Formats: sequence, C-alpha cells, structure tokens
Amino acid sequence: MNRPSFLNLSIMIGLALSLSVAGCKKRTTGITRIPEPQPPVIDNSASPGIPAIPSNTSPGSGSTLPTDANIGTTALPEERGPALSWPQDRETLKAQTLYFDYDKATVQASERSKVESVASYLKNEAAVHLLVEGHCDERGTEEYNRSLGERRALAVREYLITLGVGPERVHTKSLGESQPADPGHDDAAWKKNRRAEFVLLRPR
Amino acid sequence: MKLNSAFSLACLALAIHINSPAAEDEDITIRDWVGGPERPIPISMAGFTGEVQSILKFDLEVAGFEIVEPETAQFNITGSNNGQVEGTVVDRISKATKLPRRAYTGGTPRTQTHALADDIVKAITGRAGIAKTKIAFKVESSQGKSEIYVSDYDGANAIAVTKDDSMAVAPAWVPAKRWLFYTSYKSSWPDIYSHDLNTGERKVVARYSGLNTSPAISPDGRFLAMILSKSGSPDVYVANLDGTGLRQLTKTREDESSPCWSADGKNVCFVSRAGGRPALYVVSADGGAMRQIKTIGAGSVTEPEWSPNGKWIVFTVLRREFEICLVPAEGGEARTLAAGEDASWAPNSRTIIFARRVGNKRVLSLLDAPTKRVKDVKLNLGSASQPSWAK
Repeated sequence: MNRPSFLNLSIMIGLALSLSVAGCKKRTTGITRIPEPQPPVIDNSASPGIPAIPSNTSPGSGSTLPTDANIGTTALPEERGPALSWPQDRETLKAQTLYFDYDKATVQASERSKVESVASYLKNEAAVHLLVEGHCDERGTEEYNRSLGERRALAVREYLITLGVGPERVHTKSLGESQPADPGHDDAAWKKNRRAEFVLLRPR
Repeated sequence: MKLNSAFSLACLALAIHINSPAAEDEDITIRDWVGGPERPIPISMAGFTGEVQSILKFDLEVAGFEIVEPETAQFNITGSNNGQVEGTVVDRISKATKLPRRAYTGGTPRTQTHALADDIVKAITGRAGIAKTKIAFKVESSQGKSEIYVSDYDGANAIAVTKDDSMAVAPAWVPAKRWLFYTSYKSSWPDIYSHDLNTGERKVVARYSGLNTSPAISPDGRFLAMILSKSGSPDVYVANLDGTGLRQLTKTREDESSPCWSADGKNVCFVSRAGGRPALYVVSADGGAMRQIKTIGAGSVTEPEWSPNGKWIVFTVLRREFEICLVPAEGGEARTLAAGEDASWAPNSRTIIFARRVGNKRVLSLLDAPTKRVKDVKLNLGSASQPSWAK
C-alpha cells in the first residue's frame, strides 16, 4: 500500500477545517438575541435654574438674507420682560376682541376702531402693558395655526405701534386653535374663534 | 495511486461546495419606491398563536403584505412561539428558503416578534423593516392641555414623557438618539425644550419673546430648525441643538411655519403665507433666497416632511377635509394618499404615520404609500395627534 501523499493529507485537513468552519448550517437554527428595552425617563420636576438665553451670533459667511425690507413688522424685544409675569386682566378690554377673515392675519377696516380704543386706553394708563393673544379656527393644521395665531397678534401689535403705543409695552402669544371661543364645527363658531384677545398686564 | 487521486479530488470538490454561498443567499437589490402603485405581497402565516400572531400580522400588513391561505400565498411563513419565537420563510413556488429557520431569545415575546417581522421583510423584499421603531406624539389631556408620549410604532408601551399639566406639542426626534425636542407652554409661554430620554434632563433652548415652536432636527443630528417670531413675524431660524449659533433663514412679512430638513441636511423646507395662501418653499440651510416647491393640484400646503431617502415631501393640504399628499421633492404633481393631517415618515421612506379624525377625537394611522393600505395605531389615551417617527 502506498503511503498517503502530502497532497492527500493537506486536502483532507483542509476538508476537515471547512466542515468545522461552515458549521452545520442546515441542522442548527440561527439565533437572534434581543436586548432588553429601556423606558424613557420622564422629567416632571420643577425646572432647574433656567439657563441664560443663548447669545445671538451674527450670521456667518454665506448667510445672506433676502433684501425685501421688513416693512411694518416691528421686532419684539429678545427677552420676555417682567411685565409678562404681572397679574392678567381679561375683562376690561373684552369688548374689543378683534376678529379675522379665514386664513388672514390683517386687521380689517371694520375692526380698526377696536384697536384705536385699546390704543387710547394704553395711552391713559401709562404703567400697564398689553398682551395680545392670537387664535385660529380649527380649519388649519396645528403648527400652521400656531404661526398664524402669532401673526394675527403681531398684526394688531403693529397697528397699535403706528397709533403711538410703545413697542416694549405690547406682547404677543399664540394659542393656535387650542382655545376656541366656540367649540362648534360650523361657520358661526369658526368666525368667533379667529380672533385676537386683549389682556391687560398690571404692575403689582 | 488512482484511487487516492480520485479521493483527493472528491474531497476538494466537497470542500469548495460547503464554503460557497448557498442557493438562497442570492443578492437582493434594494429598490426605493419610485411612485407607482404596488399590490400587497400575499403571504401565509402558520404556527403562531395569541399575541405573537396578532403582532406579527400587524407588522407584516403595515409592511405591505397581505395574509392569505397557504395555497395562494407567494411566500409561506411558518413558526412557533413556545417559550421563544421562531420562524422561517419559504417561497411557495420555487421552494427556495428565503429565511432559514431562526429563533429569537431574550427581550419579550413582543420584541422577539418584531425582530422576526423585520427579518421576514428583509428576506422577502431586501428592505429594512420598521417593526422595532418608535414614535412620539401629542395626547390631549383636557381642553387646551396636552402631554407628549412615546411608544412603539404600533402604539404598544406608550409612556408619557411630559407630566406638566400644561400644553406640550410638536415633538421632534433627534435622529438615531433617544432625545426629543418639543414646544411647551409650561412657563405660560411657548418655548422649545430639549429632553434627553435617557437621563430625563430637560433644557429650554429657545424662549425668546413671542413664539418659539416647530422644532426640527437635521438628519446629521447637529442643527435645530424652528419658528421664532421675535423679528416681528414668524420666521424660520436654525441653531445648534443647545440654541447657540442662531441664524435667521427667512425674513418675510407673513408667517412661516413647520420647517423640515432635506435628507442631505443642506436645505430647509417650510410653509410660508408670503404668497397669500400657505405654500411650500425651500431655502439653503446656509441662508439665501427662498424658492417655491410646486405642488400642482394642492392649493394650501401645510406640515411638510421630507422623506429620509430624499425623494418625496409629504404634507397636509387644507381642503374641505385635511388630506395627506405627496409631491416629488423637486416639486410637481401632488397626489392625495389619505384623509388626515400631520404626516411623518418612517425610516423606510414608504410608511407614513398621520392623524385622522374619528368622531370627536383624533387617532394615529399608518399608511403604506405604495399600496395605500392604512392601519390605525392602537392607543387608549384619548385624542392623539402630531406624530413624529424616530429615524
């Protein structure tokens, strides 16, 4: 009998190794281990010290803003001032609640006298500030309505400024569609919901 | 001598065969949906029981499959769930094994089932599955109050992330992280919060005068787009995730809303009423002129989201009812997919979650865009809306 050649031996070793590396794929089930889930952490504690408002760095290179002038949209102060924590009076100017056309944020001619009354009031009471709350009807989507409500409040603020009220005295807040005056789902209800409400902020 | 050589050659041949890829491992080309309608893929399921069976059925139906009898299925799925979930998939016609039998250990039966569902989707279609993904959304607690919730994409394991007894809205995920941004009126004013779900740490990142809302995080997780009104009109701004490095991207008289990022992070898409009606625009994230994205057939466009693969923008059109519409990202014909609002893409760029009105409340629904199949997310929490799919 011939002795096994080196070639035969190496092939058989190679074959043995192949069998061990390839495994018994057709007999053993593949196994997948699932990691344990981790629930998210809720924070319902009182806010820790609120960090300072980040500084407003100037635009970097390449960020050129469109040149159409920002006509008639007076900027708000960067920070919310102390007046925003003064007690709120929703009653005194309730009759001046202003209404808007669907999907519009312009003060209609028919509503201007209300803004003029508010301007007079503010001129007579130099210490009070004013919060204008903007609201929408439900026929817009939620974030869209939040922006539209704010635009309505700002339109009223702008008109007050042109009537001589100091910009620093007039603040805005949008509630979007979240606080309808009328919960109905028809034109009559919607008309009452597209509004700006005037809230007086009286110093303590 | 001859016998030895023959034997050696046979051993060599056998070695080569065992190491070469098996017939079932052929390459699968993953193709993004290009817009044409698709039929659901018919499959059968056997051997699963109870909750595992219903979870698997839900996962596969959302993924664009239809459960049918074994004889009419294109693929047969068989498995079991005695102690651990196991499954295998066979092509009924060719008899090829698409998914060799696999067992899942650890976790819960629910997570094991989702893992199997994803493996089935991958084996049959080549696509990554979405069965293990998460969503965030808003639940109305009472009139004018809402909290943010996080759950599995199918509504299971829902947990309140805020308990502030005020109005928390517009959740947005940081990509690939357990980290949410949202707007909250907790301070009485609309501020944007960053909330790390791993630690519970919350920070206010924008609390300027006026409105701070609609946070959206760039796909690379580095930048925050949002709406601020401090300039005198609601405009699109971008900043770092901690709120520093603020830059104004739009400067119009009218209100902008709902910014979202392009898939490559280079552009921000948003809604503006600068032209009268709300329409879709895009602006470079580095700043510049805004340009309109045409949505032919859709007049009043709101709440856009750009698909992760960059091809589509989904949005809500304001008609007599709200409708979910799709437009190619470069603009073009808008097509209506379903009645509803506030859509968000799954990571697979074909499943969409949105809110639809049922009676006096809203429910969340899952839409498979190519097959147009809709399945509601099961939640017992009250009115749910503003969903955001974690990506």
